[in-house]
Amino acid sequence: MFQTQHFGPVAVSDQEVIHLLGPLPPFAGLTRYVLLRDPEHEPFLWLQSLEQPALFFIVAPHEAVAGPSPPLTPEGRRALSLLAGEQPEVYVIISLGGGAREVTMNLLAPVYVNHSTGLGRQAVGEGDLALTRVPLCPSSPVLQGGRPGAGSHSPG
Amino acid sequence: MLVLTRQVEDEIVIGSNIRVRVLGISGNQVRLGIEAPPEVTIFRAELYDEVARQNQAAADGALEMLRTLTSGPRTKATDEE
Repeated sequence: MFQTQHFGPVAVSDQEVIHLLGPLPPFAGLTRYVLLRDPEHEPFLWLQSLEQPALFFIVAPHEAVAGPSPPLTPEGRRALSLLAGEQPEVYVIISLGGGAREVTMNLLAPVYVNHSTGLGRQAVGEGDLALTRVPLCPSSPVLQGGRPGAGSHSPG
Repeated sequence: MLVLTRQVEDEIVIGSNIRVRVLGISGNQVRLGIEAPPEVTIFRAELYDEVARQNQAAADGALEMLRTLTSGPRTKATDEE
């Protein structure tokens, strides 16, 4: 059982732990995470740190918000111990920021996870730095839920 | 900062398991080949800095975004797989 700051206690089995091969910059030393979900808010999931109770990210499967996932390099595939023909799950990190409080997604550096082995890593592709903050579709559930800060929800 | 002079095909070793080789030089561009264990992530510096900024922003704004939703997670992602 892991006590998160925002979601309360969460039972996490060894098979559910995602071991990042390297920490998400700049969160040095933090490499163990678990994916949590609320079925009401798919495709969004919460990538919760298992080492820092307050730290979590909102993520979404790449295919759900941005189309086909970019392939991993052969080195990346080896690092995640992917078997031939096996594809990783790819998640994009969602951000709320900027002067306009815009909801954006980082398409340049998605998080690849091999759920068979529990290994993951944030891989950086080639491309314009603007790909780190691509606006999310206005019809997304996040935006339909109200503008950030407007809700009265208290996370359980 | 340590400063080393190397020629094409020369290498440097960082720690015991990271090797950096100068593959070629063209004008003001240098091509580097890097061998490192999988737990060592390698970024171009400007990408690292931008990704770090975006990750920090994502973490800082996550709770505010969560509060726009009607409820928190009730099951783990793998429960339905």
